[in-house]
Amino acid sequence: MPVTQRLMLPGTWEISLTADAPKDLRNLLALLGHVLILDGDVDARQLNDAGMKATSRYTGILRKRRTAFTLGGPGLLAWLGDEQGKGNLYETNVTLTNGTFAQWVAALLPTSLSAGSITAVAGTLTKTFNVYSDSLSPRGAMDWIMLYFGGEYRLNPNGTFDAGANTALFRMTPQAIVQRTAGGRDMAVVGIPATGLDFEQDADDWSSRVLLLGASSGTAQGNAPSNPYKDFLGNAAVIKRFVSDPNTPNVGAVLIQMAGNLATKWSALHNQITLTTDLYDLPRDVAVGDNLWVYDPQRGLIDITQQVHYRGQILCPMTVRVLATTWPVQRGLGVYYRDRGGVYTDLTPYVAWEPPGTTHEIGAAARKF
Amino acid sequence: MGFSIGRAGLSPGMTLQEPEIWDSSGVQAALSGTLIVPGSVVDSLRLRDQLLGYLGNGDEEIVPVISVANPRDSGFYRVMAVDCPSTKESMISGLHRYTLTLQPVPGYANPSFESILVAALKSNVTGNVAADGIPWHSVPAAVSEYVLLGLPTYVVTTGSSADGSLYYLNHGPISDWTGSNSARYYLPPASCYLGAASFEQGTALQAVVGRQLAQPDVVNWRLSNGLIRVTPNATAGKLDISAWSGVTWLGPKTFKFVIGGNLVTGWTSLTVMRNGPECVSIRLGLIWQNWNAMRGRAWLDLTLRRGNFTVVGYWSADQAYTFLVGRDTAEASSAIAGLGTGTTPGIRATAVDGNGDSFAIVSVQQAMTQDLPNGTLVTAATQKSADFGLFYGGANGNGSWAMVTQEYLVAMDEKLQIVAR
Repeated sequence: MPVTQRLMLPGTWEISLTADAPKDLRNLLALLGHVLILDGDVDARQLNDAGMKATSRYTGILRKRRTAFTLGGPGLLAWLGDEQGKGNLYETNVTLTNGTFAQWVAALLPTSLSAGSITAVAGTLTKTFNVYSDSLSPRGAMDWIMLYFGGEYRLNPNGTFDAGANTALFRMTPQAIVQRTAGGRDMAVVGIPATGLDFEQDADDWSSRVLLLGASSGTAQGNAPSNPYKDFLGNAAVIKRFVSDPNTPNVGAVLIQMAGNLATKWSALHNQITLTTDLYDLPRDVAVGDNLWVYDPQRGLIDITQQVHYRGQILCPMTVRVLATTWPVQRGLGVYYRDRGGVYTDLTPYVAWEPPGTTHEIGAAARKF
Repeated sequence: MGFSIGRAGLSPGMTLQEPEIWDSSGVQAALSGTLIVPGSVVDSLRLRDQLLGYLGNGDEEIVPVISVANPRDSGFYRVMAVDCPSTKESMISGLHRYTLTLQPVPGYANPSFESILVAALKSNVTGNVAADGIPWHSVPAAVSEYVLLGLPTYVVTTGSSADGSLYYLNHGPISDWTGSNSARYYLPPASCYLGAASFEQGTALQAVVGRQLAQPDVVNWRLSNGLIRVTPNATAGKLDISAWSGVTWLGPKTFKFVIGGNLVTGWTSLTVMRNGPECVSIRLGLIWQNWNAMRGRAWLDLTLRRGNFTVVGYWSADQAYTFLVGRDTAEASSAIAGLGTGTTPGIRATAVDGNGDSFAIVSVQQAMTQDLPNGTLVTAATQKSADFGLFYGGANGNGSWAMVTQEYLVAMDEKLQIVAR
């Protein structure tokens, strides 16, 4: 019953209650309420709604009761659009002429979420999101905007939506390092001892060139930024990918930019590292979207262009992005149910706590078939 | 030497008795016996700690086991389980029962070692480039079938340590490396700890195994690799460095440390951060003049690798300070010439001392100010961290100083594992 958080995806959560959880308490737990997880066990009666939201480290939507004692559902980002594409769909076209990144975010953000910190990303876009022909949820539209501008977003547990360059939203300079051996905290670097470190690498998605078909038969092409590979005859490897995206308007500059962004996206090798650690409350030190250093010479996880002073030595770790984290709801946290009226019920005394053990998917998200 | 498991049983006066039972199934071996250091309950406990230190020891996953009574069982094993309880009776008598579960590695009596060597040019302000750094690797001279995969040529010199002879292999320059390379070789169990980096504590000094069982004793400890030793000076806050002459230990040379203009006057803590034969690293918490416990932390990390005459140090602090390291007693020094187009990396003794040796202090990752008459280096600006290296050894003229710099410029790491032949 852990919590799984994913970068720009809703993720999931599940909590089990102990058998002694009173029936009258369980009766209060109505669907489409919210569950907040705080770093500590606070008295919810002493905090107002804003205070609880501001203190939350995770907020999920109660959407599932598998049993009378089990609560679960997606993360708060499902209000932007859930896994089925449902959400506060647009019923009128959304059109901006030479809209900036911030203008597009503001235009696409549904009323279920409030704008947080929106930092500028260069460029403008003239486009119309058509209600029915594009049939995108706000999250789908937002993802498209992010891909076009090269930005990212993050939904905070208090319901505020931040967007901008990833450097503005996440710790792109790592502050934690993963090794197989136990490591403590240096002044500037947190050591994460790995109980499990699995490395999977493949080139299944690698493409040398993207052929983009946009709206109204508009086309453009984009090349991978670099191509070190060769085919069997020694020629530069040619692996082209066809992408049909009717959301890309038939505007030359837009098509070209989108083709280039797609080519960059599909030129990355799939480096999936699954890290498991027993370090307590790891998400406080490493959040989804942050960069992380990983050092394991035995698996080739090194980068000699990068040096980090850690525990008296200079290590050459790889920098990888945390794309998903699965963490246990451990004793010491506080769990609260918030009903539709913003009234809180403290579930902490009745939570069946989980043992330690956090799993990170870093480098690339696990493939799901 | 009788029976030993890794370093347990190797320390003088702390021999390990042969196990009473060695139950080998082929896949695992279960050993049981008793341990005692006659006449010392404390030393019996320290020997016990040496055994217990191998459980879950990530720094020494494979250990040599040597049995004189059963030489056919001698070889390399993983320590899967260790149990050595202390009872009321054992605390009085010093006699402790132990049980061990060992797993022989493939070809345990004669396996192949693989050292994964990661090397990179340290980021530096001295303007040095990859061609200036020379990675190196040191192994006991009893090594056989040594090869560095991918870099077959290397320069071999032989050195003498307090434990015996070492081979010192220069693989360079670092511009020839591609990040990491693997060295393959074989070492007999009895030579594994020859010239090994070690950390010792207590009175008398005895080897500490692993990271967990080090005591909070900041007064009685020693870092050593058979070539150079680092010990705390009788005046708290200062360090002594001694060098092996080939016949005896020479020195010590005493060094002082100053933070923000205040002399370091003691240590608050000692943490073992790495403890394997290829490398030992410790961290000292610092006390300095005008210090109080509420003013934040300052640490001094000391790292010693097998075969290295230079102790690598690293300052870190919560707040920005100037960091000074230098001779406790003023000693005239000269700037070490820069390599290639690089600037001077540090200072060295202008003249050899009464032992015929010289000290040197190097630092490349931040701007340093040299005090040549007194033999000190201080950071040119306040900052939260700084690197340095302390060298003490044979007086070989400027050629040696170039080698000290070439090796110091390389950030190296070594991961040792056993692979099938």
